[in-house]
Amino acid sequence: MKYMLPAALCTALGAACLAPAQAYDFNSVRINGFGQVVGGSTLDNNRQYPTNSVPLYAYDADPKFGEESLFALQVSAPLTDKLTATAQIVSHGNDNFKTTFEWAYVNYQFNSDWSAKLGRQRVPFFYFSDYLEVGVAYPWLRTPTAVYNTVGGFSNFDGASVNYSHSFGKWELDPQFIYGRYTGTLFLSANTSPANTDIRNLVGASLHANYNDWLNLRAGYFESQLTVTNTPVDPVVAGLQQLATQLGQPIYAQAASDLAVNGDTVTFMELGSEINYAKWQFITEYIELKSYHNYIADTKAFYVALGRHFGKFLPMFTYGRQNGSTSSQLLGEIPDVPVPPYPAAAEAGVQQLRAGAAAVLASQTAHDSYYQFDLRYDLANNVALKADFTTFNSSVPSRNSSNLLSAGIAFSF
Amino acid sequence: MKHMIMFGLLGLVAAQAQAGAVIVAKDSPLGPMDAEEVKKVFLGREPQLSGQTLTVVYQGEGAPRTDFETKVLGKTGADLSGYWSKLIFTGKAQAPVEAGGDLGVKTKVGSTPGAVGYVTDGAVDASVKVLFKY
Repeated sequence: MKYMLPAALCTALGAACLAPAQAYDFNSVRINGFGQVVGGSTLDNNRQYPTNSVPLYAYDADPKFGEESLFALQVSAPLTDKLTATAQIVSHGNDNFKTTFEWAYVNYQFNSDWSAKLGRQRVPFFYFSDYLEVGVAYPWLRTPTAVYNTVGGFSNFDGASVNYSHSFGKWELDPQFIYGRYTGTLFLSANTSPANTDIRNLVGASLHANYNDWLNLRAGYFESQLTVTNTPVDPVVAGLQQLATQLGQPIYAQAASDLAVNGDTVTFMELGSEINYAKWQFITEYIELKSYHNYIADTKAFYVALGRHFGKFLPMFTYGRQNGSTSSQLLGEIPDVPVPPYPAAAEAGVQQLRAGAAAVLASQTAHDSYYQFDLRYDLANNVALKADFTTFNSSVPSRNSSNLLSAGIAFSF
Repeated sequence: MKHMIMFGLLGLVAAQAQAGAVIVAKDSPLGPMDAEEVKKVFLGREPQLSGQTLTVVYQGEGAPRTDFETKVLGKTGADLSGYWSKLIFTGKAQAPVEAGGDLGVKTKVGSTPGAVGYVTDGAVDASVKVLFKY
């Protein structure tokens, strides 16, 4: 009987038993996990949050509980002494708890200082990028919207990274270099379906410096070639191209090319700092996103956050600001009146396209501010209760102001 | 008064019992460490030492663990748990292994190449090598 069990297992597992691998010590496999359940609602009817570009989560006056809820498992298996395979599988509530691989990579540890990862991993854009979804690891209910929604939900890439980590006296330095590509969908405009995106030649570096455990400084710079389709600018671009052919005027083709996102260079820069001193916690980040030769806004955003620990409680106040502006030159490239001679019908066509372009460019504009109040309570070492009240204001008339109240529980194991 | 002295003595005994040692297997190539080095190892910042991939062994919840964390690591509770979350879920370090009590740690250290753990002083015996005392 004792020997029948493995035989039965073999039958069940089929081919796996035919070529038995060298005995693998499954005790060395580490399984960890984290997750959160968050509910929220805006406080006024017909008001949404956020009202700007990134509906990664979208709240309205009817309470929702799945928007930011998630559950994740991480499995890490040592393959050799220096090689480890890791996968992080995350189910997102706003995606009907469909599972996706957020991280899936092999890590090679050259020595105590150098390591390299090959596979799917996080783009280290922000201070909290690496553990964006690990709610227990940061004080807020959600990372400050003003800064963290500037990249349209772009958080993973497939490629390689090289990491170095070394201490010099009381300084600990962690530079990271990445190269890779992302193809998938991103949110680039308000109230539209996600855009099809191809981000090629994504290259960049970040540097994290920690001094004596209390002072953290961080900087990052990234560049890539961006191609985007399925956006509100598509019909305008197509119309302009048609016009160029019809009228034989290359000026419209130029305007089309300057609006479209077709292999255009995009750069991203980040500066951040976190100070934990006595019972105080201070965090700040500043980012600049620049997009060349297309309709996507150049964005500058920052936040400052200050909190203080009272035993297991951590209240925190955060002020954030996001400014997005498009080049006024772009609209100027579409003349009010076509260059003569032109058929009478063309005039209406040009004005319609100009209005279309103006609307798309206006939707990219942001002058938004966020006041965010958070309270975190550590229920246990690995469980935190969190509540957040955010009040959002925009001086762009097309955007509502709104107030969002949300609360949740975050955990890790 | 007599009782007070008794309590005082008990206090001393208790304080002594809480002193501890960082240990590895007897035949480990690792040598003595200073407080800074121990801190680095147990905070996952030293994935390899002397060419060996380290496995960090924490004790289960209890006085020896709290004692080690407050005396040596300077981080404990939710603070330490959050710290590890950052390392584990970003692939910056392998999660530490947890072993139950002094005996569990000694067994783990003895059976796992590259394992480093900590035990209370009284549990130190010939099967292990002490790298640091606290």
